[in-house]
Amino acid sequence: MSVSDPNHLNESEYVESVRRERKRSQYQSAILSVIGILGFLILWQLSLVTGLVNSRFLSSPIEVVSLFITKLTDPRPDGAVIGANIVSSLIVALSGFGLAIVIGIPLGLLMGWYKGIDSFLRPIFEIIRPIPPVSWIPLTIVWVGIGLQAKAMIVFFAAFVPCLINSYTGIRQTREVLINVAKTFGASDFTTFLKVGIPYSMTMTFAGVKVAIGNAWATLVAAEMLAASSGLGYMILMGRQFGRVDLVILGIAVIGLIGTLITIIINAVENKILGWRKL
Amino acid sequence: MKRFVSVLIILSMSLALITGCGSSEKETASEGNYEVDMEKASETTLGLAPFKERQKLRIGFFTGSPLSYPFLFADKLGYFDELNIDIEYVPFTNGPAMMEANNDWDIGGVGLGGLTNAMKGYDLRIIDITDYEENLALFVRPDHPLAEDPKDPENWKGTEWIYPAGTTAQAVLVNALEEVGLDMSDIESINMDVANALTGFQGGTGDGLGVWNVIAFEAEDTGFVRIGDAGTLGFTAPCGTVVSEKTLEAKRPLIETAIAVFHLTTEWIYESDENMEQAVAWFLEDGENEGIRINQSIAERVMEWYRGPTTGEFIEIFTNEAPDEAGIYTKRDLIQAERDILVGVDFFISQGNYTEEDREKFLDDGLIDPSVAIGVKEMLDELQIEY
Repeated sequence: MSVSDPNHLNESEYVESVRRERKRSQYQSAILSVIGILGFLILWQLSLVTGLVNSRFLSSPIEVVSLFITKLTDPRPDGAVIGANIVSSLIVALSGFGLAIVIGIPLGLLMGWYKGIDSFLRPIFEIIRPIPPVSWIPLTIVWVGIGLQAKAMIVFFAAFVPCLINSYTGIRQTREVLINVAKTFGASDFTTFLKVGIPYSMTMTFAGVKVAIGNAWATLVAAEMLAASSGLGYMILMGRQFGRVDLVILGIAVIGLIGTLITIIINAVENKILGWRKL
Repeated sequence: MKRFVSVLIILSMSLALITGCGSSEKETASEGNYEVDMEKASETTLGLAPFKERQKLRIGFFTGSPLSYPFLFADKLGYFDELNIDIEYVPFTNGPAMMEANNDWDIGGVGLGGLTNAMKGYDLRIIDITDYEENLALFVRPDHPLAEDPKDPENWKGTEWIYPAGTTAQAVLVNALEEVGLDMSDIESINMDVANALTGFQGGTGDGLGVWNVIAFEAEDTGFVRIGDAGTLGFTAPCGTVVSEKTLEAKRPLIETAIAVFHLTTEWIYESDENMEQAVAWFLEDGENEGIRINQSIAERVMEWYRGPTTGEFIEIFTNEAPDEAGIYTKRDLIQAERDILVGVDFFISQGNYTEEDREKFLDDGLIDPSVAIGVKEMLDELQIEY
C-alpha cells in the first residue's frame, strides 16, 4: 500500500502510513549519519595507517579513544582527569550560557515589544553586538578578576547576542491578527505581550538558544585561556604546551560531543514546549 | 542513488580535510651553495669566512627574552652582513606557538619548556644553549606574610599562585615549596600566561605570582616583593636553539656560522660597559617596537641578568661528558648540555607532564645534538680564532 495513493485509505490508515513513511525516512537518515561518521573515522584512521598523514600532526581515532579511557583515571599530563575537566568546563559554559538566557531573552522580548525600550537600548546593543567576545578578556580581568565570574562573563558575551536577537526578531514577527484578536477581547498590552507575543516568539527564541550554546562552547577555550587549573580548554592548552597532539584532539572531540549532546537536549526541550506548533 | 553520491562527496571532502593536516613539510630544506671565501676571513670583524653567495637565515625570535638577542645585536653590528648573510626574524612570545610554526623558521630560540616541547612534539634538535635563565621569579604583595618570612611553611599553605603552568615558572615554585618541605598539593594553582598573570595579580587575584624576564621586573617595579627566583633557588633553566634534522642537514654551514656569530657577539656584550649599554639600547628599542611594556631600567636589568655562554663555554657545554647525574641513563655518558636540560625534563616528568620513555627517547635519538658545537670548534680552529 502506497502513501502516494491516499484515496483508497481511510483516515486512520492514512495517518498510520504517513507515520510509517516518516519513521522510514528517519531511519534512513540515522543510518546515513552513522555511515558518515564511521566513514570519516575509517578514512581518518586509514590516512594515518597508510602514512598519508604524518602521525606527528594528527593522532588516530583509536589513539584518541585510548587516551580518553586513560584520562578517565589518569590526571597526567595536565593534572586533572577528563571527568574533572568536563565538569569544570560545563560549569563555566553553562554559567555564561545561563546568564545569557536569563538576561538576553527577556531583554530581547521587551525591546521587540516596547518601542521605548527598543529606542533606548538598541543603539547600545548595536555597538556591543559586533565586538568579538575574546576582546573583552583584558577588561574582564581588571573588572572581575580571573575566577569563574570572569570566564562566565566571556562566555556570556558570546551567548548573549543570539539570545537577544532571536527573541527580539521572534516577537516582532507576531502576527498582527493575533494581537488584534487579543485586543478585541479586552486584553491589556502587557497581557497580549505575555500571552500572544512571547508564545509566538518561542520558535525563533529556541533557534537563538541553540546558536548561543554553540557560541558558548566555541568560546570555552578562549575563556579558559584567561586563567584555569582544569577544563577542556585548559587541557587543550596543556596539550599544546607539552607537544601532545593527541591531548589537543581529545579536547576538541569532547567539546564537540558535549556540544552535540547539549543541542540534542535543547531540541528535546523545544519539542516538549513547542510540540503544539508541529503539524 | 542521490544519497549514495552525497555520502561519497562528504567522504571525499573528509579525506581532503584529513590529508590537509599532514601537508606540513619544511619548505626550505634544500641544499644551497655554502662555499666560503677563506681568504676574506681576515677582512671580517669576527675573523669568520664570508659566504661566496648571499645566504638567508630565518630565525624564530623570542621577543622580550634575552636568549635570542645576540642574533639581533650581531645584525646591528653588521657581522651578518659582512658574512654575506641576511637575517629574517620571525617573532614569537611563547614557545609552543613557535614550535607549531616551525615550518616558518630555520632555527628557533626558546626557554626550557619550549626545548622540551620541541623534542617531544616535533623531534627538533637542540644545538645550542643561549642563556641560563635566572630571572624566573616568585612575587607576593608587600603585606603578605610570605613577604616577611618565605621560610615559614605555614605562610605558604593554602596560598593561591598565578603562573604559566607546565613551564619553568612552575619549576621554580616547586623548588621554593620543596625548600620549606611542601609540595604543589599545599597550594592552589591557576594557569595564566605571564602578561595576563601580572594584570590579574595587580587586580587583586591570588596570593603569589610566578613570572619571568621583563614582566618580572615590571612586577618588582609595581611594588611586589620578590621572594625567590631560579638563581637563588639553584634551579638551572637553560634556554637554547632548536632546528629540524632536515634543515640542519641542508644548511649546516650557514647554521654553524650563525651559532658562532651568536656566541662571539655574546662575548662582545660582556667585553665592556659601553658594549653592554649599546646592547641595552637595542634591547629597549626592539622591545618598544614589538609593543612590550619596557623602559630603560627594565632593559638594563634584563641584560644584566643575561647569562649567555661565551664561545668557549658553549663548546665545553656540548663536549664535556659525564655520567647521568640521576643515574637513569646508562647507555653512554652525557654531555653537559644534556645534563643541564635533563634537570628541567626530570622536573616535568615529576609533575606528570612527560614520561621516563620520553627522556630515554630524547637521549637515544641524540636530540641534544653536539654536532654544531663540534663544527663551530673545527671552524674556529681552522680560522685560528681564539675562544
